[in-house]
Amino acid sequence: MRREVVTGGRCDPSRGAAGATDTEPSTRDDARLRALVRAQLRAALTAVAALAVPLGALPLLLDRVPAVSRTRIGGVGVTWPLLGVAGYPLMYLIGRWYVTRAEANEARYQGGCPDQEDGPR
Amino acid sequence: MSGAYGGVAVAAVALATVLVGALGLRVSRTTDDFYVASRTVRPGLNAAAISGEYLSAASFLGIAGLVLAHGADMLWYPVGYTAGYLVLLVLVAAPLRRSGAYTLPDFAQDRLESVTVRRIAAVLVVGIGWLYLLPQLQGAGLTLRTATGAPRWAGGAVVSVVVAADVAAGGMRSITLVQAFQYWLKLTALLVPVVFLLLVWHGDGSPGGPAAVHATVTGGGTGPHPLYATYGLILATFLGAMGLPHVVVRFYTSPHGRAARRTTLVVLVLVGAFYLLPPLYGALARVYAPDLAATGDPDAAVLVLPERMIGGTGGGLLGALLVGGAFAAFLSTSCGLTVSTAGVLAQDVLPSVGVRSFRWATLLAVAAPAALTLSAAGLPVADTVGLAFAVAASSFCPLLLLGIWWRGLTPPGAAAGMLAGGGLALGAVAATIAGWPRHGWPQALMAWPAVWSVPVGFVTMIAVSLATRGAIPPGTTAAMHRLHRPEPVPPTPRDPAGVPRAARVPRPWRGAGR
Repeated sequence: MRREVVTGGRCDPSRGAAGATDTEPSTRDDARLRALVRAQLRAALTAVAALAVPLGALPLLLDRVPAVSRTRIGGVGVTWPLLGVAGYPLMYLIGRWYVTRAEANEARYQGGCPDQEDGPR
Repeated sequence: MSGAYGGVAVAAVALATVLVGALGLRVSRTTDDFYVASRTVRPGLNAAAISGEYLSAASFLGIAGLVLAHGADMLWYPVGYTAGYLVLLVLVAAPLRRSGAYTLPDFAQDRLESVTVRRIAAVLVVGIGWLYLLPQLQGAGLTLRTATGAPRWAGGAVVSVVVAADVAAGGMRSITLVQAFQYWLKLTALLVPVVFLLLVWHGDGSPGGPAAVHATVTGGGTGPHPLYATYGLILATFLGAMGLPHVVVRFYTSPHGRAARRTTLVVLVLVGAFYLLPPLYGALARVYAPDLAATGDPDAAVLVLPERMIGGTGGGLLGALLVGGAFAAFLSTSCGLTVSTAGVLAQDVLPSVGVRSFRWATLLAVAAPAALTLSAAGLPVADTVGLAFAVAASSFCPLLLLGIWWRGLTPPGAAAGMLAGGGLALGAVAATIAGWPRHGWPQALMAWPAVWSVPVGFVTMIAVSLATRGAIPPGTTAAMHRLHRPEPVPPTPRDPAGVPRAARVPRPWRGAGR
């Protein structure tokens, strides 16, 4: 029974399938989780910064620096290609980087808990 | 316009929606099925469904209309709608799925162990749901009138009836299929006509060009303080998407946290691909239909371009395709909003729990905004949608971010923050809809409340939580483990194939490329 193997972890007895009762995690488990949450938050904030810094600066740049707003690419103002096209690949790349990073963080967390590393085969 | 073609398109989309939904009826059996499709929806299908649900009237018609009227600055709307999903992906998606809750009020109660916080969240969900349904129904009225000359209320009525029937019949399982279908319908409906339109434009010697594309047709941009308005829009859309009830409810249909992340990444691709198209319509409308901006119906730009540029049977057929796509947009977004609003009404407002209660809640969820559409004067589609984003960003964004990442959040803090941020944003919305104030900074501050109401929500939530440290729920540590602990093996209790889902989930980039 797969689910019994899953819930039988040695490192964290509270781990269970959805709906299992939550017992208070041990101090050691909690310290490990805090490290995971910090790592995940760091990855998330890095991604948000990579999104917010260029996009957040753009309106100010377009408004205050006439040289930028007058620049033309392929005969149209720079706003069209920047906002209409370039933003989407940037967002996808940030998202892809984050997903890889977040899954690596989780793999590292589970690596400290060999029983549950990869589940039954 | 080509009334017959348009009418046929609307009928076909409505019929297809009901039929695809009926496929779900046969597998919808339990309450769990109704709410979240028993959490067995795969990333590819789920991503198409999320995108189909998200791309509403504001995206299909509104963006082109805004670009027509105000120019390239309006491209911040689609960028913001997409960026909201990226913020959702990195800060909320996986923990929200792992919380295991059905709705935002469920999350609030689960994390904070407080029925009061749950009630406040429930009221806000219903408020945002109705605020967002209103422009969908009005957009439907505009489309049906443009296409067939039917009175304005008719389109809203058609959407209301189809949505209520569909949702009441099959709940979330049926709308997952419906919405995945509608994403591809919407993409096709914009993509095919624009190819022909661009060919015609090229054949005409590429008229307009930079001059037409650059000029502001109506002047005025987004009011007296365009830079402030742009930042208001950026904040509302970046932070608001995670707080929209119909968006959040979809994450519960992912089988586990990792799939929720990968699903969201595919959503970024699907939504981004779609948003390449509406600005093209807006730019073409600046050349071929600049008069629409002056007559006050720029939202109709997408619908009339084929007739203006091509005409005849070909133009009529392409126009009908666009009308069908627009109706798909109203139907899919309205379905999602109705399910999430009805879910909350059934759980927190109506007495009994179960499938029958969900069906009654569906009627109530659709009837209220439909009645409002009949009585209220026409509000601009994109504006109302933007206001719904601002309310969501000011109330649920602080709740989700602090609830997921901060152990110090207390029930009084969450309640105060949601009431302060969401309440002030709702007040600003009411003022703007009522047309007050009309000029200068007061008008800008009310029309784009996110710049100040989001910080108010966060600061209140943090300050009150710090002042009531003793009220930190005893289960906070256990809740943090639930939210962040990765699944050892993706749970697959109801997976029909019996294969661990991880084996079938593609690497994110490969899955995204499909």
